[in-house]
Amino acid sequence: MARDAAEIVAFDADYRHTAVVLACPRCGARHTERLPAVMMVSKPVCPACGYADRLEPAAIAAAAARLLPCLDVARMQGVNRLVAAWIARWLAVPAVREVLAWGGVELATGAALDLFPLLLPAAFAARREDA
Amino acid sequence: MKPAIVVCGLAHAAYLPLLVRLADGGRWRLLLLEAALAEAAAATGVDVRVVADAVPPEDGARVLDAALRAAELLRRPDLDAAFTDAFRPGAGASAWPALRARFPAFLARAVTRGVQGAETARALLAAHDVRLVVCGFDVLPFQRAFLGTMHAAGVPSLHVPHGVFGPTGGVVVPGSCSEIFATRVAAPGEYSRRVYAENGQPVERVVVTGVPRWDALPTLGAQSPGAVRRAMGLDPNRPLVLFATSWVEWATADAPNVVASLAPVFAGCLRGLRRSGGPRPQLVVKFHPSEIVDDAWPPLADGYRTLCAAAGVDDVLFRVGDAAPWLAAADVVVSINSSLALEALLVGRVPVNVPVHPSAVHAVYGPETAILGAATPEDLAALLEPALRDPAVRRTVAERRAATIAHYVHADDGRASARVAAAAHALAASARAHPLVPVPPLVSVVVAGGAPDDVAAALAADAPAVSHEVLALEGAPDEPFATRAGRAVAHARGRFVVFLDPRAPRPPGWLAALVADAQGRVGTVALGGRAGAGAGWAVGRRAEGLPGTLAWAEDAGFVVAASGPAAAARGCAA
Repeated sequence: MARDAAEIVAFDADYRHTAVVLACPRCGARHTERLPAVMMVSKPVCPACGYADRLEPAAIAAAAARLLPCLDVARMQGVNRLVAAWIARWLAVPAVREVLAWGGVELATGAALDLFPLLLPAAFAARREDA
Repeated sequence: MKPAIVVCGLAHAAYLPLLVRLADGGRWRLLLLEAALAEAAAATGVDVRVVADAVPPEDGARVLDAALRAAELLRRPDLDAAFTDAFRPGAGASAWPALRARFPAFLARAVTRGVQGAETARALLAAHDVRLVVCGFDVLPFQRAFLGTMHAAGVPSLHVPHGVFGPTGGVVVPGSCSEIFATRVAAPGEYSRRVYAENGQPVERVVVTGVPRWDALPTLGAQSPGAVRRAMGLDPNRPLVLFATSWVEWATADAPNVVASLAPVFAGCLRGLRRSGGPRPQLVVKFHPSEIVDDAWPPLADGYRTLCAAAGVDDVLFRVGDAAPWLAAADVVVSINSSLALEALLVGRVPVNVPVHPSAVHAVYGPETAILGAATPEDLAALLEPALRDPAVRRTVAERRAATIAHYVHADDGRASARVAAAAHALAASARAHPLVPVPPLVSVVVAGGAPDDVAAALAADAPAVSHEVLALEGAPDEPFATRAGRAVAHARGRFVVFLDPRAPRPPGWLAALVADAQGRVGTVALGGRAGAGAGWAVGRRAEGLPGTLAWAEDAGFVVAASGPAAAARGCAA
């Protein structure tokens, strides 16, 4: 008999990895599963009740089509611009510049790569509210 | 000491000819941050050293301490207002409250990699006569800090991108190579130079060379795909489609579209194969290197197998590693927003590219090129049969090949390695024409009341990992202490200046601990000193107004004072 599949309720990411937030079909608890590749089969286990699941690429693609914004070019570029502006403004805060200076070398532009995925969902949300 | 070129991020076997040319018959020593090509390079007579051990471990005390301190500092409540403003989207509510909890971890990670990169560069500069860095990546935190440290020391860099990058519509986003960070970029072709220009980058720093990694590809096309397949033990009579997978880089707003598209695009390819007439084509899936990190490759193949099973396609080969043999064996190569389409063209095969965002902004290859475009999964399904067997389509690809190659990858003459090496040597020579600025020490230790040589010897043993210089507090004995201290600060080259009374007791590791503490301080102009005889040391930050903001009380030890609010909060009194 087919088992219930966990529902993907949100996406998360860092620069190299996609992650999905899963809602357990048995206990309802949510947890995040980090995926080295979105086309892989993963076997998440609910940390709350131990429910073992199986996540396949087709389910991830369907959830992405349902949950992630599909933007036209102008809006996509608007989001890119907003994130780039946020990064620039954050890096201009004197305290941040201090933290990201090491032996006279700025670590800031390298940090921007990791910062972008962190800011992206907030930028999507901001632009959605603008629309 | 023999002059050296540091090579990093160029570990693919196809870069070996570039390494040989960079070494230039023994004129240059190559310092490799990755060991993969060391043995092969040494076998050709290249003077090569693997310097991977120069990278400090990420759990090393100094790196860990810097990362943790950075994360802790950003939790300071007084920074909330500044961050709230920074992340305000126009007139709307700030995103900062939703972001706050994740920043310490992000910052710890970024600082860790950055400090590793900077410290690696320092170690190499201290041990070798480094004249140039040739790098395959310049956008990652480690590489940026590594190159930044080299640049600060007067050592230039040449970025050799691993492929052609798409336009970003004038928006510089971190992961797209839309920004030039190295001293020069060895760009694949005029197309890349134009993209840099559109992004407002200084095109005078772009040298068009072609892609060294692809130098051997044109010769692979000399044999027919069938002959290559026969040699590989595959059926020579069934055409072969190579499907090159892609990955998701979350440094552009296009990333969600890629996540949603990868499975449908592969399903479209499978539908196209099922529709194909004649001998049933063979399918080889070649995984993108970034998809198979973290031991993801077996579950990744399982993922593709689920889609094959759903489409009723079996007999699929899954491969990792070098794509070149499979390009030669293929009749048609399907790629997703990838430079692999150009590699296929160099080998003389028919490339089909699927730009997962069907827009002009993110489409790398225009409709006039030799690269067939499939805007949707269904377009891909419909295109495979003509790409495999329609003589008119294949003739069009052949007719457009030369112009496409000239525009995107300069030439198919197999001499990109030579051009990149020439650009590298010219860059190193121009830098040599100007005296290299020695890398400044991190700390200047000013010795008051003792022998500088004794202190230098003690610090060499006690703090070998802290780049430092030792200076004497000079001046006549009757000269005011503050005047002498100010003169010492003016001469000091370090980012931090430590005043030391060597007669006071000091615990082992005192300088490393002091500097680790000072590195992360925000808004503090001085710390570590205290009133009272025998305090032993004081440390100040040169960039923030020393010595004007300081007062010294010689009879009470080194008293460090500052006017900044953070210093006041720490109890430093003027």
